[in-house]
Amino acid sequence: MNCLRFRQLCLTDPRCADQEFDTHRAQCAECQAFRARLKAIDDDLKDTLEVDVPEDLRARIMLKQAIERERYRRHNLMALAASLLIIIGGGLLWGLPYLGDHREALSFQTAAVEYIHSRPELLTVEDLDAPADFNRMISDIGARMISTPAGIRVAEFCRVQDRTAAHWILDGEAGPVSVIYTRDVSPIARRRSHDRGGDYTTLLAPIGQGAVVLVGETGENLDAMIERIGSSVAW
Amino acid sequence: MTFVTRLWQGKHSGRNESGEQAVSMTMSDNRQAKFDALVDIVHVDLYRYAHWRCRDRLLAEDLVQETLLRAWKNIGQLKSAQAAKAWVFMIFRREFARQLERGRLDLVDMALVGEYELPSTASGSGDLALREALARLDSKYSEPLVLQVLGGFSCSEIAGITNLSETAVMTRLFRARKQLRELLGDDSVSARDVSTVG
Repeated sequence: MNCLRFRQLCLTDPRCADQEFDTHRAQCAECQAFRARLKAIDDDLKDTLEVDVPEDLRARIMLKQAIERERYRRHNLMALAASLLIIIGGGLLWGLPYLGDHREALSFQTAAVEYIHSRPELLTVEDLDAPADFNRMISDIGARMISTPAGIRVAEFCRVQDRTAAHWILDGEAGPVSVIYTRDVSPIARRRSHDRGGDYTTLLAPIGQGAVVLVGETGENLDAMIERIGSSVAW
Repeated sequence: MTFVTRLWQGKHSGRNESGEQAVSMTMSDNRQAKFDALVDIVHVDLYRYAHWRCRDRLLAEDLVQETLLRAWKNIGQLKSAQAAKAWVFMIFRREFARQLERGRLDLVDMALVGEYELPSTASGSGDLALREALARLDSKYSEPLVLQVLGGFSCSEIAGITNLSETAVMTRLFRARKQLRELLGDDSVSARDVSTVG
């Protein structure tokens, strides 16, 4: 191998594992220095490109995939159910799961309220990154931001009743309002509000392709809060 | 007494640990295990490559997530572990091009690349002159170089990722390094050389 060929290889494939390449490098001091200079530039370039990776990036990738996987599973289950109906006929209609069964959603509502009560410290937190986190979460759950709702103090993903859920805290008129949203629950037909006799008020409502549970101070207009969130996001 | 105050006064104590823990993805499904392993292998280099392409942290994060979601949807097509990383980078390039075409990416005009001040790396390392020189290279030359240096890809793999012939890739690598040397000065000393002097 001559110097020209050696230097061409240095410029195109510096990690070349060719025996002749190694031999020439060992024998030619000028080419050895040439390669060392190029390697130093490559090493500096690598340092420049190796930016810090967000610590939670892997978690967010897996979460996005989990949400999508659940969506596919439910879609496939519904397709399977529809196929059974077509094959067997209307006689099995009453035996199939009743879509719109509110019991699952009410159970989720109870669990969501318990979760909110277990994190009282969050109600006095104001995370300055919350609006940006909210925007990112909306994208992660497959929706589209229209405008960031004002007064977001907390935005996090959580697990409620072994379901992936988004947890937000926004400023309400009577105090902070906690919002728990999930797609992992059977659709519900209408809103269900419940006032705990002066303790707190809660609302369960369909939104997008899932359900949302709101918890706020007694007297808080949770219907207005639903409208506020609904107008900010294209589900 | 408000709802908040009552909560703070100890109606419920402690923190819900299950709510704080990251989502655990312990799956026995072969497809899921494959995806888990794939994410472990590629997400760091993919994010860094995306960061270089997009020059924006949030865009890079979004595109990486979209890319890996697409990879998961098509993971049945992946037959070889050796080809996994190159395959994902190929998906990324297609996704990047798709988003660019739809006008969803707000990127600096490539024609102004020479005047664009590259964001400094979070680690603070990297020679400024080198970063500026890289930014001044035409992207058809800088991309193969970045894929080789950052991604560790061979010329053959870069050809597959960029849909070029291997000869074309080698030519572009040659020109990229040659132009870099010219922009930096043929006998310039790199930061590493300086660090070992005296």
